[in-house]
Amino acid sequence: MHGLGDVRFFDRVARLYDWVMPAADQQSLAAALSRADGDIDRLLDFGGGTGRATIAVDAAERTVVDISRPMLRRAQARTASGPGRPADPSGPLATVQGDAGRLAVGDNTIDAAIVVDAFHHMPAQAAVVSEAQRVLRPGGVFVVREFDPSHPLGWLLARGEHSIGMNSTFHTPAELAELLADAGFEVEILDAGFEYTVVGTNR
Amino acid sequence: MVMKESLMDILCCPVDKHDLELTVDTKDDEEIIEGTLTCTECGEAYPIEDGIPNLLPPDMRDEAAA
Repeated sequence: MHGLGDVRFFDRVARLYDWVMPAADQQSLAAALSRADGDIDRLLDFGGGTGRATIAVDAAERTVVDISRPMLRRAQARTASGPGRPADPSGPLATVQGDAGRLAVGDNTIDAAIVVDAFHHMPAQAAVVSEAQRVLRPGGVFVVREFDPSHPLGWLLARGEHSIGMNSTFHTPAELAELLADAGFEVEILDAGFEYTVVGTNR
Repeated sequence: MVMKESLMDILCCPVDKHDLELTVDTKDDEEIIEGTLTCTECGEAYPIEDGIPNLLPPDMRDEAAA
């Protein structure tokens, strides 16, 4: 149950996928990350694409992990004011081309991992959750921001993505919370609505 | 940014999770632009190109390049 998922689509749209994180989303992420015990020095953004969410969070070392190289080249050049073009000077984000379901990251090395608007594209969701649990130190947090398919807008989004051929798998907040709890996380659902945030603390 | 040597503190082989050995071909101050990461256990080589290490598992790397 591994694979590229919808990555071909993102290889093609890398140039268009370039907006800046809204302030509300930034606040939700900060609230979720504050659930960690101790400081967050090392943070990974799984399926982080052009680094839109990565740049919006506070951590000393922020690394975007994504399968799509065209997206990572934009993340490499991203600054707080917006996404970069591959020819631009490099910004503050590190990048690793990799699969969140089979991470090239050692055990207990990370303080926080985030997945923002990307979990539904990942073909091996249970593997991603267990990999997050493996790489996070005790007291570290795994934050997932997702769309709720039981919300009318979420339902429309799910229909829309399927109609353009994506293999997206959406979960309700309760379902996603259960996925994280099954992997051993202490789970909290932080905000509800069209887009919601689930945070798991590694115990 | 391009790859810093400090990233080696967290990276490992995506297949067997063993340590990687870094070979640098092109460097700019502390930043690695071109090079190779080789697994000390299975010997698999992972390329670093344009400052981005490609640590996709080998089967996916081939699929992504196809």
